[in-house]
Amino acid sequence: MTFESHLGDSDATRIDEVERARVFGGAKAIEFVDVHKAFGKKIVLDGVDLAVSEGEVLVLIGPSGSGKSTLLRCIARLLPIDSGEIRIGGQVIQDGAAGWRRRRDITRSSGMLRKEVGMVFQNFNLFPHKTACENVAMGLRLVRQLPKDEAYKNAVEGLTRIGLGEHLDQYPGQLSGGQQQRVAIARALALRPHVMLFDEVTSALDPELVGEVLNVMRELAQSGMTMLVVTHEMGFARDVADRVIMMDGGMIVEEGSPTSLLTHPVHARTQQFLQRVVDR
Amino acid sequence: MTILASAAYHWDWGAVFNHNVEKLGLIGLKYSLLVCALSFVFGSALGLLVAGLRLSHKPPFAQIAYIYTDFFRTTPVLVQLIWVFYVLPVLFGWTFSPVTSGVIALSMNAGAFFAEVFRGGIEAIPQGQWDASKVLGYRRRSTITWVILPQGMRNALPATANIFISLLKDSSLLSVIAVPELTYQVQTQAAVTFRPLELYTALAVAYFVLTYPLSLTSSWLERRFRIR
Ligand SMILES: Nc1ncnc2c1ncn2[C@@H]1O[C@H](COP(=O)(O)OP(=O)(O)OP(=O)(O)O)[C@@H](O)[C@H]1O
Ligand SMILES: [Mg+2]
Repeated sequence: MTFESHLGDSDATRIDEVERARVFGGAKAIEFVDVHKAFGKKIVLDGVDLAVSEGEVLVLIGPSGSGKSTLLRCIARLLPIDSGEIRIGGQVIQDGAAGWRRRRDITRSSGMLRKEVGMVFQNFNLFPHKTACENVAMGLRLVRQLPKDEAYKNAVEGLTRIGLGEHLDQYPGQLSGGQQQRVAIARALALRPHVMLFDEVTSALDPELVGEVLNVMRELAQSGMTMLVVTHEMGFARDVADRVIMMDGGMIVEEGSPTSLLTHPVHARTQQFLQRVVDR
Repeated sequence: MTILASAAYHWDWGAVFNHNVEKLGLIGLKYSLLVCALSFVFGSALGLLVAGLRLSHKPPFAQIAYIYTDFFRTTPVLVQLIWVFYVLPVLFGWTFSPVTSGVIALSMNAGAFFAEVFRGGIEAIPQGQWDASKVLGYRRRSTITWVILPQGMRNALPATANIFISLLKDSSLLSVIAVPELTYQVQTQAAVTFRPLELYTALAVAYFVLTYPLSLTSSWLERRFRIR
């Protein structure tokens, strides 16, 4: 299994590479500058500063309600932020201080960046009325505007690569959780994103199915994908992460290499959290 | 005495099973089905539009859609029918034939129920479907066309069979404005033959035979689409 080919060599890809070099050239893959976000009175992100480099694998840990999902959803622009700034490849995609006019301009000018961010969810969110193959091909047709046969060819390739070649014509409901999650990953990768966000993607799986999904993510990390991963799988964090970030109460309380943070946490809250995860 | 008299009622099915009544019955059936089919088509189109307006949350349209659905769901069909047939001409000077009036009233009524059924079907779709589409970069229109409507329609399908059942039953009300549908034919024959008991019994059986398969279809659809 290899993801070399996800940065394949079709014409469409080459154009993207050029585009990307222009947009991303030298800049950080993702940057947060003093980002605040509240739901009503409840503060969920409380001044987050963060910079993720090209090709970096970042694992986010922290107790329930600490704002991990919110952080990812802000990058994916599923949620607006209240203040601060989020940049992808140096380009502003969210500016909390902006008025509606500037927000509209940002949305327009960064529209192209939307497909640079892929996201995988805890409960898959596959389209249940579409087969595995259609789930993957749909985005290729609607977003990349590939002709039908090419979209399906790419979809088949993508699914075969992650070992789902046998299940192309099955509906999500006919697949195991692990298989569904792999289809969801293939669906996101098909659009050739630059950054992948994973929000507790193995939490809804039976324990024996966790491994197959983590393996796909491991391969992806090795292929040089920039990844933000929210997970409780400490083994994965230890083996794959370049950096681990501990969140609590909407703030980054501690960060470091997996070995230092997971084995010698400095912050009391990190120690407590890790203790609880280990006990579980 | 009356009890004895009724027990002694002499049933004469010849009033039902004769050439004349059968011929008129078929004509009535044709009208009933025609009116229902048209109202089903127009009602579903109207319902989809109204559901869309309500879900759009756009200020004047969403409210108008809301008032429309609630008005037609809370007033009797008979009143709506009479209103369309007798009041519209007076208010606006539009005169419609009985059949057209009937189709308008039933379509408007079914439209309100369709709107609720479609809205329910669409609201039952998990937020995650919208989120996934958005992250994949689908435009709103593409999301609605390829992700939301197919699932919403599928969720709504079993309930639409129930709307057809209601339409079939409500179409009997069209007899009051002399649409020559099934109930109207039976009424006129009952007056001629003095055999209302036989004729209305046969009429009830006829409606049952028409609606019961639909009711079975509805539960079958429900079971079938629950799987995925
Ligand atoms: N749409 C929303 N409306 C209101 N409150 C919300 C919403 N989404 C999240 N919250 C609240 O924001 C806080 C942070 O939520 P978030 O989902 O980011 O936490 P999390 O770190 O991902 O937690 P978990 O490990 O449980 O997934 C929680 O207290 C949650 O209740
Ligand atoms: Mg979460």
